[in-house]
Amino acid sequence: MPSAIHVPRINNNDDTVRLAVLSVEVGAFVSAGDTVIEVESEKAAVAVEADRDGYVLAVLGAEGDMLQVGAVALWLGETADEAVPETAQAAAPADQAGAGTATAKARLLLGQYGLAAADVPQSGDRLTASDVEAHVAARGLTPRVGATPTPAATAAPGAALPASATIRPAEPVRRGMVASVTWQRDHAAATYLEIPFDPAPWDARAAAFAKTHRLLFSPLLPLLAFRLVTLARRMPLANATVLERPDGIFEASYDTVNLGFTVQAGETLYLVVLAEAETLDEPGFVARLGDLQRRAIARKLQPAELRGATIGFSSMARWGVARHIPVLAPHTAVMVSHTVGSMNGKPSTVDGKPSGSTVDGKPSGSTVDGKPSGCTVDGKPAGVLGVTYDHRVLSGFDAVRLLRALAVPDGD
Amino acid sequence: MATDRADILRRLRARLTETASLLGNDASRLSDTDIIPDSGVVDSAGLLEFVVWYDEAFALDLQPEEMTIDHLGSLAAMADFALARMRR
Repeated sequence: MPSAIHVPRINNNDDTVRLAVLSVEVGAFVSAGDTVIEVESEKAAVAVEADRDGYVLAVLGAEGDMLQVGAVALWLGETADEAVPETAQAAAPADQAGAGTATAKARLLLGQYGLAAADVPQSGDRLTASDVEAHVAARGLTPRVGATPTPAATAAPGAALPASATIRPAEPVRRGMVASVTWQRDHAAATYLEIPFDPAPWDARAAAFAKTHRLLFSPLLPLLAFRLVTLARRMPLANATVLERPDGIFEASYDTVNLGFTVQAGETLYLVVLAEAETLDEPGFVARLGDLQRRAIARKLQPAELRGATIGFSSMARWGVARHIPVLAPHTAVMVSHTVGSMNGKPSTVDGKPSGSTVDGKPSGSTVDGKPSGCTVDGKPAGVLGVTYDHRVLSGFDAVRLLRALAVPDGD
Repeated sequence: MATDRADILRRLRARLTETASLLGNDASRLSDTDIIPDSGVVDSAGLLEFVVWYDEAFALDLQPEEMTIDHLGSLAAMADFALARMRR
């Protein structure tokens, strides 16, 4: 159910405050405690935090707007596609009340150009983004320094859609993907590295585990993910993030390990989240993750099972890809990728010849001590463990240490 | 709803053959008692999709602790499990 975040009162004598910083955009996922807006009067400034996890459904103001104290500043929802309550329409910025209304995108543009709604002629009942764009184009105005560009402003010249395009609201899963990619693009210093590893010890470990527990499904990937959880407890940087705020740069370490794990369900890619994974023993973890995978494919996940990841794991071993560079989940520093360059235990081939890191059937790519490295171990096709990591949080050395430890079952 | 063991087996085999075919594998030689994960006709993800279909097709409401070789390891075991659940 949607819930509102209201404009706080800063001073007893001020019934309006200025929206100084808008930290979120519609469709973004926020966690409880995240700063969503900052408002200020002539005497003070206050950061307003989300009081719950949720998706931003609507933002009722733009940076620079004067907002009425007590009005709704934004709405949060359980899912990204919840309807915004009708009352949202009544919460217009104070400087626009009674003077017609502006669309959310128009208000965003007004803020970026430092304009007031009254400065711009409107062509209809509401001031639209097109009105603002026409106004600034006619006067050759440029956005203020530091203003957040709109997607339209960042689009490449000539990137207009063909006239045949059909435009419709994005599905929730697509919005989630956009939120992840946007967070990585705008906030993380995403970097990638990988190491080869011998999959045989892990395969043996999984086979023994499956035999002991009479499992129907291979526990290989859950066991790898469990080891990642264990390592995250030993390497807190792998389960952390960095917050860059106007009042400084902060390190945030998570008290729990919420494992995000990719599941391809038909054409839909889910990042299921096993919360508080560190509290489970190995069999319990394998069972819980298996249940999440099964319910993802059956489309029976709860919204809470798709959010709050603090670390991630993704495998494309099934598809025999040579390299897989995953995207970080928002507010995480690590997303491990796994592939083995084989299908059903056989080296991947194209037309019967080895594929992947080979040239003319021989291993190619880099060498170490004169021997092939990359997708081979002892001359045999090998697995690849990679990691997309936030370089603000971890160094390349940290990332390599994590992968090397992960490559060996039960290693130190 | 199929309640005849032979009919359940027929449906299971048809679906598994289809799933295996999508992966480029042939499940026609799989016997009713062959252990499916050991047969290599489907990978683990394919088997997961097959079991999700089985759960829904026969309205079984499978529980995590039931995902074992003993319950669902072969086509025959799956048919017997479904029959027992439907008669409960």
